[in-house]
Amino acid sequence: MTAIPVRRPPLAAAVATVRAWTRDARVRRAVLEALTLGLVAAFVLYVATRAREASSLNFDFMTERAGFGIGDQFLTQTDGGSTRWQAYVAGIMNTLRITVFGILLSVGMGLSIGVARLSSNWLAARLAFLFVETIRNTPLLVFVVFCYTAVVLRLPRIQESADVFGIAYFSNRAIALPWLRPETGAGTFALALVVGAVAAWGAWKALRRHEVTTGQPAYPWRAALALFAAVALVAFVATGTPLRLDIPEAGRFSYSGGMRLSPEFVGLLLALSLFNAAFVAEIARGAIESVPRGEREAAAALGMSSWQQLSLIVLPQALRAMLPPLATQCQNLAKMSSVAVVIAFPDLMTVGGTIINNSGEAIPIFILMMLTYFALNLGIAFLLVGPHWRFNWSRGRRA
Amino acid sequence: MTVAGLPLKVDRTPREALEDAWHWARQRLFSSPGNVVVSALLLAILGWAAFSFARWMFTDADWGVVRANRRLLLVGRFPLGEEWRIWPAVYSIIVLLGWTWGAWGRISRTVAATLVLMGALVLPTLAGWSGLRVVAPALALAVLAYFLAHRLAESPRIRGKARVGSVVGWFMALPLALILLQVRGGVEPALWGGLYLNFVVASGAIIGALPLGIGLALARTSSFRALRVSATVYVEVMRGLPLPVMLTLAWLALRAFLPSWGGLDEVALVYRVTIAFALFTAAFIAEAVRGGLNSIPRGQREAASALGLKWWQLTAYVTMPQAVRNSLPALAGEFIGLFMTTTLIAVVGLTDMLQAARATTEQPAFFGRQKEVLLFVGMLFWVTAFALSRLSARLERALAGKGTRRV
Repeated sequence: MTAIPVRRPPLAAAVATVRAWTRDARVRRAVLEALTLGLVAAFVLYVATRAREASSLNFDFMTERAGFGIGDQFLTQTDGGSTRWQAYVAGIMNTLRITVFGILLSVGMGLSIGVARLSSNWLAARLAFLFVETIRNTPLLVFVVFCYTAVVLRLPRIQESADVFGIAYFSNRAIALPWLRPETGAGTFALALVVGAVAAWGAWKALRRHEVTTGQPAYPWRAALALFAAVALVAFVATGTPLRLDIPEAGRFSYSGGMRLSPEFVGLLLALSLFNAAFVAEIARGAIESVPRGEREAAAALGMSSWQQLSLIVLPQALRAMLPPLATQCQNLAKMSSVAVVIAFPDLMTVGGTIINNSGEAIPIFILMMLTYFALNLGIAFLLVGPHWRFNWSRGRRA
Repeated sequence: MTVAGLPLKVDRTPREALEDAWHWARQRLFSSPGNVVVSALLLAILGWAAFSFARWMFTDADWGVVRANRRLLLVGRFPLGEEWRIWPAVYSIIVLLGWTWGAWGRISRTVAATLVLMGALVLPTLAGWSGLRVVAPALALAVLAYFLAHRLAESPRIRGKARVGSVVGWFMALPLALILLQVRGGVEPALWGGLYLNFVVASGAIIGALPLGIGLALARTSSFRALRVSATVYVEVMRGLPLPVMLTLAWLALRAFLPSWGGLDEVALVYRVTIAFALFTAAFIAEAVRGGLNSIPRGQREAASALGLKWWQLTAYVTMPQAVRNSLPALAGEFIGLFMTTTLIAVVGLTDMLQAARATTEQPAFFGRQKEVLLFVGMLFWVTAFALSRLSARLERALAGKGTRRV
């Protein structure tokens, strides 16, 4: 047989074309992109199918009777007969309560400790350092369990509760503090306060502009505060004492009146805010140190007092550097408040877990919890960093 | 010699010493009326706190709760006679700590003093003198390893090897703990507990999270949009979720998503929780490594491309080694954080050291001893985290200035 050379021009051409494609950066890119997209889509599809198999993925069960009560509630009244949605909302309110108070306490403490760490006072600086180092090297949960079981639950029994001047009571069943109770007319009064605040802000702005343009002192802070106080006073009298000081009274088995806090809430709040304060302190210290030394020296050379240097020159600039990490830290606090489940404080996480247990619907609840925490995070970011964007644009340093 | 920035004469009479101290106090404590008030207030608080603590310590405190429950705290309900699975891991970790520290720099006097003091407080309470016999050789070996590594690191030629050895050692030692729990019949995961459970979950999570995190960092910096977007979504979702929610998910719902082949959906709770920790930590590791990747000058990539290196060569030989080196301190921080957050496994009902500690105070003999046992647990975590964080500061200093050179 004689070998006849086979001519396969079409195939060879096809091979050559494919070869050329495999070396064409655009084609490779497109193929790889498509492959990744396909993989991601396959994964999402897989998760979705498995979720569908495991659960009906509807939220009808949330309108059914909850079947469990919540001991510690804030602005909500739910019991076993309420729907699961209502119980869930009570959980959200508790998470919000712990987050808001936790942020207020920890930012307050953290800022003072951060400033103390930079203080010229040796003792203050050392103690602040010790506080930060102790807390940052200990797990949060150890603090939570310690504050709850070793501090709050070791308070005296309610029959022997410790009191402070007869207006606040501490016991291992509840802690009662004096509080302002809204009476009739409180809504009008609150509205008047908002109006007063807006007016004061406007006055501050106008006087400040006057001060800046003319160089004459116009005392914007004092004027604004005086205006606000005047509006508040007039409104308070006009609406006929809308707020009444509510002092708790100790009974044999419970307290009445005042603000009564559960041991779980107090333990968790104490632990979370102490823990978070250490991180806020480090953020504050970093921000203050980021302000160039020369700024302060220049202020001193202009004859500003130490307090003026701090409040007018250093802190405004430090605040700007501080807000983004502070927002992240506050988000951390909101997320970490979910450790409440360990000491059975009925927050979002605990209530969600209870609903899973008594309805058996795990996946819808997880979807709900994820969305709720995302919303909470977004809210915190918006509240803290939102003003920062504006702040940065209008007063950015042009150096 | 100086104390807090003020020069002090070394040989001085008592009178001079007193004058120096007074001078120092005047400057650092009582420099202005405001400072006098603050100092007096702080001294009063400090004095009161120290007094109440001392009073509690010497009259009320009873550390018997720790001594009696030390096994529960350290290994939970781990079966008797199976301790041989634990000791090799403990020994290698202790020795590695010494070696790593020696290879990366000198231990400072303050840190050494703190560690010795803490060790002296923790060990006798925990081990008693009989238990100390088992731990003492490990500590002696650690000190030996420290000096040996320190000696080796003095020569520039061997230093690199000693340091690489320490890193490799850690990556060998962490799986060791997991492997030893499986071989020769193994110990049922439900019986793992105490501090060892914290340690095992943390090491398992590190082993899983590191490759995943590096992959995510590469994906996030990739030029492929689909990769970049999906990695970004993953990282942001994980960072926005509370860890307890993740853990509960692993507890109650993960099974529904695991494939059924090979009995994978029947995997024990400890493993599922470890997977959750790994998935969660990977997002944070990805951010740390991404920071490292971003810190590499563009020119390096361009130079490597100009030399004809393929993408994987560029990554394996040029960018990744530098990125990992630059992000080592951040990574160390993540690992310390991970070790401490493993206490959150309480959420799914596993008994780690903290939960074991809570359980001890339910024994009638130790009712109301929460303070002692929780202080002890806190201190143990504190010592570990403190040692590791100082070590990472060391690393940071040793690595400073490396990999930032421009062409």
